[in-house]
Amino acid sequence: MRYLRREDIEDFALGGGLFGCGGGGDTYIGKLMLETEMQRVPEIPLLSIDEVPDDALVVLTAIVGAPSVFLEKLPNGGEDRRVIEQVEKECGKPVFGILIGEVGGLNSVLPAVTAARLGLPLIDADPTGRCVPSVHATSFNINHLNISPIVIADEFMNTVVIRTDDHLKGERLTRSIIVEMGGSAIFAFCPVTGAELRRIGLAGAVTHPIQVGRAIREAREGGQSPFKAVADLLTATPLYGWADTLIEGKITDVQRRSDTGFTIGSAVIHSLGEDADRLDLEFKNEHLVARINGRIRATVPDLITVLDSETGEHIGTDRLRYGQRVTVMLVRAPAIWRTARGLSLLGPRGYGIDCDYVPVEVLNGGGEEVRVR
Amino acid sequence: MRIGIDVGGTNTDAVLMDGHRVVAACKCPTSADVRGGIIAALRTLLDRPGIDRRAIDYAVIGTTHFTNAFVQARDLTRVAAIRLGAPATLALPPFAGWPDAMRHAVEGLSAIIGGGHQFDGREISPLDEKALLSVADDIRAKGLTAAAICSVYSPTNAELELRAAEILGNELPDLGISLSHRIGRIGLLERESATIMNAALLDLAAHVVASFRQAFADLALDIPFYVSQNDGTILSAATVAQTPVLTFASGPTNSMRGAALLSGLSDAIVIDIGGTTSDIGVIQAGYPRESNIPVDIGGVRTNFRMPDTLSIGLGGGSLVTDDGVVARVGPRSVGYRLIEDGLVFGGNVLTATDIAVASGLADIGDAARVRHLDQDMLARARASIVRLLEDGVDRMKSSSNDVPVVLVGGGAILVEGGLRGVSRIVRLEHGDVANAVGAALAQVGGEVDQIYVYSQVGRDNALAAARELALSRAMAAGADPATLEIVDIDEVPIDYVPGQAVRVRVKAAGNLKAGEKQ
Repeated sequence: MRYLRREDIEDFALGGGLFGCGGGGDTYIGKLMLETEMQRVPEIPLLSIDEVPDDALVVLTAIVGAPSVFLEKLPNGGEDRRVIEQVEKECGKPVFGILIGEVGGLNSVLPAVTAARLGLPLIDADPTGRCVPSVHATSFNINHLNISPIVIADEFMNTVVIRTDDHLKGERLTRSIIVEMGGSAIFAFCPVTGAELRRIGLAGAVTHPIQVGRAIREAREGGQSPFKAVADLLTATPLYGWADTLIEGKITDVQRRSDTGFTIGSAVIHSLGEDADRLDLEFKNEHLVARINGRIRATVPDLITVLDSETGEHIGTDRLRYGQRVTVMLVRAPAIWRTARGLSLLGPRGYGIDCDYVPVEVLNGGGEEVRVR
Repeated sequence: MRIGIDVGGTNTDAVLMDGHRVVAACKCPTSADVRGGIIAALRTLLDRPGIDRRAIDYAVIGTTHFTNAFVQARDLTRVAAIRLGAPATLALPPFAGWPDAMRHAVEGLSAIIGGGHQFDGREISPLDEKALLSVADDIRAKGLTAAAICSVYSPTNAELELRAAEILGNELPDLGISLSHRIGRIGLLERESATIMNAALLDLAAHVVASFRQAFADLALDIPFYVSQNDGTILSAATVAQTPVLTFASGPTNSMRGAALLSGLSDAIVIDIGGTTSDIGVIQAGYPRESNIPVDIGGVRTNFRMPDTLSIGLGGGSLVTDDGVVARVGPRSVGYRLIEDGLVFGGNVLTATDIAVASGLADIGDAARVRHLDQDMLARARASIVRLLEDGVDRMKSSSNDVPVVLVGGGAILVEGGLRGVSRIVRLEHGDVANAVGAALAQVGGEVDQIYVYSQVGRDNALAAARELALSRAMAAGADPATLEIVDIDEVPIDYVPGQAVRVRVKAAGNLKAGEKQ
């Protein structure tokens, strides 16, 4: 059996940023909570998908709501235990282990806190393989698993259980409840068995961030550029299989606005040197589309992520600013997102981008060209 | 006329200003008791012929004294940290994330009791007065003299902090109390830590402000004096005795403001080239652009209003190496040993200053000692210096348009001609006392940092309300309404929550009403 150890925390948080795709929120509070918890529990058992028994119940925990509220109104710390107890009651059996909520950002760190607190193993898997903006964009939904129960708890241990067959309805009901709960709460949803997990879980939600974080740190310590190492590493993983640096340059324009609770906007990045290429990014919390000189080079659900050229740290869409030296990396989305159903949840058309999805490795391998209308 | 004083670690500078004109300036060594250095500097200034003491309206002091004290954990008092917000926030106690040594030096006790607000203004819990009284007993038993109170969302609703302070004050009349809404913005741990730092400095602040007062009294200089704070506006002496932490970043702010004011530019890049680094900052509408990134002080994460500065490894003492193709300048530097190690000073290390002297840009030390240097190498080194500065300026610019640059600091001699992306370079006569000038010309500000739900109140109404509140806060602080203006508006949408909740920050500032005595 493997373990998540205290000395892994820095790499885990640093590397997780890459999968944030611009969203995911500030991991500082999550990291502090994990460090605090791991002073008591210096190692958390880390199980691969194959180590979970067929009939064992596993479930994710995550923060739901506004990351900026979470920075002011910290949780009680008992919400996750409350949520897990309620899941056990609803399902009539004990929870065996905790899944990562979504790889990248705050929700890749918080489930580890839950696992440490409850003395449960952490499962090296998540239902998204990248940050997503909503509860219904998961591999659970793609694979027609019942989302119920959704269990939400606030700092008073007020607990709401939602039962619905419809993932989108679950998303909407959850949103309205967290507003009443004060803008952020802890929740769990879609408990699955080990057998179901093996069918739909995306393996590596702990391992991948740690590997990426370590590659960035070691490259930095050795005075090397981390991006090549990260691309090679992810290309070698079965889940992603392709990754590359799109552009290294400087942010020359950022426009942002707020609409229906999202950070929506665009950024322009120019590569350095003569005959600079121009990269246009559009985002809605997460990055949606990347165009070089007007030509599309990546869209959702493939991962588009902006990293600080010097430190390799993830820069969220709320922190992009003129003049930052950044490196934009593209990573192939896990295969489930490339199915018709995956694309209906996280494809370009759902975000008003008028093009069909073309895989990022095709767009960047000299393959077919997608014209922008 | 007004006086600006900069109390630094090494020197105490003083300037007498008539409008934006420097009438007189001087530098004296800082004394251990602070007071002696101020007296020496002011005396030098006032004893100049033709100075009419009666024409002086007020003085503003800038100081790094409190920052240095905290970072070195000296002269700090232990603090009772009281958070209002239970049952929320129990996951991380006060002092979470502090370095152990700092925590040991400052933590008296920590408590989290009922209280706090939600983002939309509802109370999380009513204030738990019974628990607060029991904390008061603990404070008494431990003999603590300072407390920090931090309530969840107090920047938008301060009611519970005020009530808690009243109760504690009744129980313990001699207790020094710091309230978080007067100190920081939204972001609980950072604001709470800053409030704790502030409480730990209360005793020292009382001493330092008293010695400021004594210095003016010793000189029989009967004028009000103020202390400049992080954002380039001023605090009254009485306020700084209560909120010393608000002076933490005043040094770089004053230097940038001073440079901008001496140059007459309200939008510019300021480069302060010292011995080891060049600090590059941005002035927008006369004020330093603030950093978005949390700032660590003594290893403690804070969310102070700090100027956004970029420090690059280029200064007068930067080492120069040349391989015949590229000359590298910095980031390593001989630092303060420049006057021993530099070639022109008789040493044997090639520094950026030697390049400037050999190129005829400056007349320092013995130019004969660098006459042998290869012209091509000099050209390469100058090109490297220009490239470093151009790159730094470009990083800090807020748009791709050319901007004016104000050069200050002893290393300004390294720059000869123009820089790419720069419309013009302004050099200042009194650039070496820019800090004191910035202090003298500090303004009075008022700030709002609040969440509005646009779908309920409408964006225009919300912004109008925030503007009004900022203006009235600045006027309450003593700003002349005729010079008052909104200097910053910032809207940050709160993601993932429906209803368009937006965090709005508005800052107003104006000149202090002339001749007003406190």
